[in-house]
Amino acid sequence: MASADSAARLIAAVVAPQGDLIPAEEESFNHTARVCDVGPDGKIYISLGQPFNVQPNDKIELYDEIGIGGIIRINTDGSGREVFTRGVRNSVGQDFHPETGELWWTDNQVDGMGDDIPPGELNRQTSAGEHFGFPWTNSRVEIVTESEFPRPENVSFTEPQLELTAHAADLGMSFYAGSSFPEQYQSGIFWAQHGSWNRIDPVGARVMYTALDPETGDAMGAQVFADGWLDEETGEYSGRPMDIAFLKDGSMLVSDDFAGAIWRIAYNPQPAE
Amino acid sequence: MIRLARVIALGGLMLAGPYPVFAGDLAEGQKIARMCRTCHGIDGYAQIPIAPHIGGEPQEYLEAQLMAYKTGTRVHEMMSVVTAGLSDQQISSVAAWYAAHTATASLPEGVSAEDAPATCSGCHGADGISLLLDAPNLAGEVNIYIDTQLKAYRIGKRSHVIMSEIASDLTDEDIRELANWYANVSLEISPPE
Repeated sequence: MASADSAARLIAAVVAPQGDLIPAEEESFNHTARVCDVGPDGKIYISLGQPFNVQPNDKIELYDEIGIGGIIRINTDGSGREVFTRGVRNSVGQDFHPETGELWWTDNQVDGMGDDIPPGELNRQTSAGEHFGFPWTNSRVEIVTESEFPRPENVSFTEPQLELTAHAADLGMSFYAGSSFPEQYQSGIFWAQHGSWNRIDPVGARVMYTALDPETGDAMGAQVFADGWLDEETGEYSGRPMDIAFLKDGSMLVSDDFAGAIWRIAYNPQPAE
Repeated sequence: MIRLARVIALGGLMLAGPYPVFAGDLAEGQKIARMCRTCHGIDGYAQIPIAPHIGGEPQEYLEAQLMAYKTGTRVHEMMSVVTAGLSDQQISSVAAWYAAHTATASLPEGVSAEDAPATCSGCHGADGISLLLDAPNLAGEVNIYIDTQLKAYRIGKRSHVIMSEIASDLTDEDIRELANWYANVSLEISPPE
């Protein structure tokens, strides 16, 4: 419940007006789901999905400059825009590591190459301006050839932390900072898989989890945390998870744009007998 | 001119009555439809508001639209990707699968077919079941889907010899009214026997 006091401090203002965030001539209906979060530095981080399945050669330089197919950051007053992340296809999930402040994000990969490639991605960014390879590479899969698409000079590509099930559509992600889930889920990353749309055998519609290596901080491997929204016999969805968030009690909320529902997942240990 | 020729050709088909243009294999079509079902349903009853119901539509219409996506004369971020990977034969088969379903429409209680929008009903039917092989069913489509298509015709993003002209004269209010008429029709789709 917002008190009158805190409500009085809420201010709605335009940070990046229409036509400014994305130039009017580059507006598109494709890959327009945006995520934005305030980082540990107080800046706003906004992912800008690129409008094509794979962008044409003549858009690469322009998009790289604007941050389309990237993540930009700006001050809360709209000033100081810079491209923070390069070489992204369409990221619809990001969160900052609660201790290191590093930005982690999911990325959706190319359609039309086959049901089993290329893999989805979970990425870890350790410095501003890093390039994650798109459209040249998606993890170990080459997407466009360097002979046709000259690669930018003096750029190395950061490999993803995890290769995820192809076309499962990894979307909203969040570090677990609560304490009510069992020990094995402390401090790792949860994310929503929306599920595939045109794969012959649908995959996804799950909530996934990875623990982080206590030494290196790297992701240790994706595991299924919650599923059951996809009937594998019939290939029918009953729900499609979009995003996750946590309540103060440490329980998880999962938004679902197919069932039109928000699910809550809480840990209810059986009392000792 | 090419488009005009196509309409004349379809006129010939209409006289002949519905028959498969190519021998689409239903079983093959059903298999391909697994790529379509997340949005359009395995029976062609759409699962999401931006996708049309395609079960029980004329095979000719379905096939023409899929070929238009494949050849680039109609463009959509998802449909263009899907059709690029399908052969002409696969397109025939999947069109045959959806066309083999039966679409049944019923007007809301107390609504008379006589009040149907005359602009549309001559081809799309008062209840939104198509009367032509080249026209889609409109029964039970979400109003924003119909709205978006009419606006696409109006600005030239989608083009058709009859529809482009009809849409060019419609205001936003006209469009929403027509869309609401068909959106209010209830649609049932039954599988092939």
